[in-house]
Amino acid sequence: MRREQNTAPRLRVLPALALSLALLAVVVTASLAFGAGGVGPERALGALFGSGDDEAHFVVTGLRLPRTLAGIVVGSALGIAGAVLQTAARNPLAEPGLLGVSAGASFAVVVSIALGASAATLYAPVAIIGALLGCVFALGAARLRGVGDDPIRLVLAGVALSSMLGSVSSLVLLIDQRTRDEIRFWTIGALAGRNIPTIVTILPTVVLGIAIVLLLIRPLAALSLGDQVARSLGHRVRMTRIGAMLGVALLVGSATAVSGPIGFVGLVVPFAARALVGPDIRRVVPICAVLGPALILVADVLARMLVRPSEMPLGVVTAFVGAPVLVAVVRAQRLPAL
Amino acid sequence: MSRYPGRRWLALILVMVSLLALVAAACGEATDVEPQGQTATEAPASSTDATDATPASETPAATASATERADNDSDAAGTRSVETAFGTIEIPANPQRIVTIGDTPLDVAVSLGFSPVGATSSRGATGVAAYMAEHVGDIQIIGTIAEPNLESIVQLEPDLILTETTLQEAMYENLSKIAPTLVPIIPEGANRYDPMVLTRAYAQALGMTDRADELADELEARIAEVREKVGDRSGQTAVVIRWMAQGPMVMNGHLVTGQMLSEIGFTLPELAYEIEGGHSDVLSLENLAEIDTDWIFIATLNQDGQQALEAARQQPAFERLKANQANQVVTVNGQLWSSANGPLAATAILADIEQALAQ
Repeated sequence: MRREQNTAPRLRVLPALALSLALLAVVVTASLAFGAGGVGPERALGALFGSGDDEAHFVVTGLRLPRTLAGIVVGSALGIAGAVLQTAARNPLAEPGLLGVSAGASFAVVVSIALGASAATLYAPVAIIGALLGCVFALGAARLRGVGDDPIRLVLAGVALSSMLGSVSSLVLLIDQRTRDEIRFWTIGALAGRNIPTIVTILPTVVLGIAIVLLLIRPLAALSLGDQVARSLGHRVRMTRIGAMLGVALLVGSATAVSGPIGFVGLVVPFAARALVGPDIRRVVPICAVLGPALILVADVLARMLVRPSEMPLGVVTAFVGAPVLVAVVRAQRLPAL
Repeated sequence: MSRYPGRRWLALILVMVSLLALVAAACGEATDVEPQGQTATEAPASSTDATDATPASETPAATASATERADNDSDAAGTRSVETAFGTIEIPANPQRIVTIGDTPLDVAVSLGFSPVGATSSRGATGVAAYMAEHVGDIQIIGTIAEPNLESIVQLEPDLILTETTLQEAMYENLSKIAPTLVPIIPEGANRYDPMVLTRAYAQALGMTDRADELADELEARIAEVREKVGDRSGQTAVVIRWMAQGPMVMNGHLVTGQMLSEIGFTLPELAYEIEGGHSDVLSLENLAEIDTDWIFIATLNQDGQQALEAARQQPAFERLKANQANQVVTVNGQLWSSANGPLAATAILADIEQALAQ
């Protein structure tokens, strides 16, 4: 594939950020105004400004608001994780799911349900532990000489791990039909029914993940110049990669704990961000933090409106939205240089 | 390679042994496997009636077709000619070894007085449904409803296989080679979820319509009894749901649970009757008004009803439901309340309703 050497950003960061924030504001409003039920935009917005009826008030503050907040946290985490992973792996098609992190979280939830828990209680801590275990395996692979230094082999190790965990999950679900019954809705990914306590549970790990990413932001930026150049600038390449993966695991694990596995966000959002501000990760991360929620919430609103009175699972809608974008970008052969 | 001649021989020997083992397994007799609670039957003896003119399965591995029975005309000694969904077949007049595929056939067979030798496991369980367990004793489980284990069925040497009305043709072809397979026809317009409709369909095929009438009377009597115990519910609404994290799934009102609740006097929401299949899609939490009934029955598949209830209560939208506020939410066994059908199931559901309401 031809890669354009694109060193000059298209926009400066602040205008891009302002644009993204404006988009996010519009989307958040839509998320509060629209839903699968009978509370339409007028009543919802009325409730926001204090004049709505009781039902509208409950729907907006009790149902749509927690859901919107969950969407913001999940979108932000997945967007940032995607950008970091693509820079650390030097692979513009790298996705957090590829690392085996989402698979680890799913597997942990499957096992916990098979052991007697109920999917309705959404074991957030379990999913985070599963994601971190997936991360530990990937880190173990990264410490192997020849794998950790080669981004492609790193991704391959992650794919192997995902496949293994996925097949063991399938085995458990084949044997335990009760578990399969409970988890079949969780594995597609959704924001419906997520409430504030769940979000609060994972907020510390999300913040920790972002903190790690911010600490590593300069080494990561150097990494995109190539391993040799980064080393000669004084950065520790391997530790940077490992640290980046830890941050990614925390972010993706927390997001998966809230919403179940959701794909394409970690792929599409960094693309869009790079199209706006160029490939420098120091510029891309803030944009991803805002565009990620925007994408998730747009998908969520569509999920609510398309099959009323039911809702589509979010993972399905993000795939519909994300896959064509991915195809278009790849076909246009304008993969930005990392 | 020639540096290790010993290894080549070893490899060759291993391959030969494996091939031999494979061949032995393929041709293996089944006599060393005993069905639970039954002694293994040796080769030629089939345990059908002495009056049965033709022994159906001479060897354990027989694949004799049911149509090889003598007399395809009506009731010569030992067989009956019945109409099934796949055409007219001959079944034994007095079947001794029945295998059932599906929960409902098992329920009906036991209600009519038979003791099946084999049954499929219930959905979501490793054995028969919990409410059936005490009625069947030791019964051989021969696979799941979706994938019955044909070899296990053959080992049991059945003389009749009872299945649900929804059996696929491919599976029917296989089953009918083992034993006559009865796939009943539901009369046009009848509610296929009505336990007595199914019972009568089987009873007619087996020539036991009297017993079916008895069962219908018993069920009516039981309904009247429960109706008296729980009092007049004619003004009240109820719904049966499964609660998932994203929202509730409403159970089809035509199921036997819906019928029993209606008989007791409850009215179910319209949504429950508009569903195709066993249950609706997951309803959005914003639309809980559809299930805001006086009584809510939550069907859970794991035993922890209490856990499921608490999980549901974590949703503020659920908290607001009037059934929850009035403490009229009941957790019930999902196996029984969402997929079972038959006279025994109806009786068990009535018992649950009585227990929940007569307080």
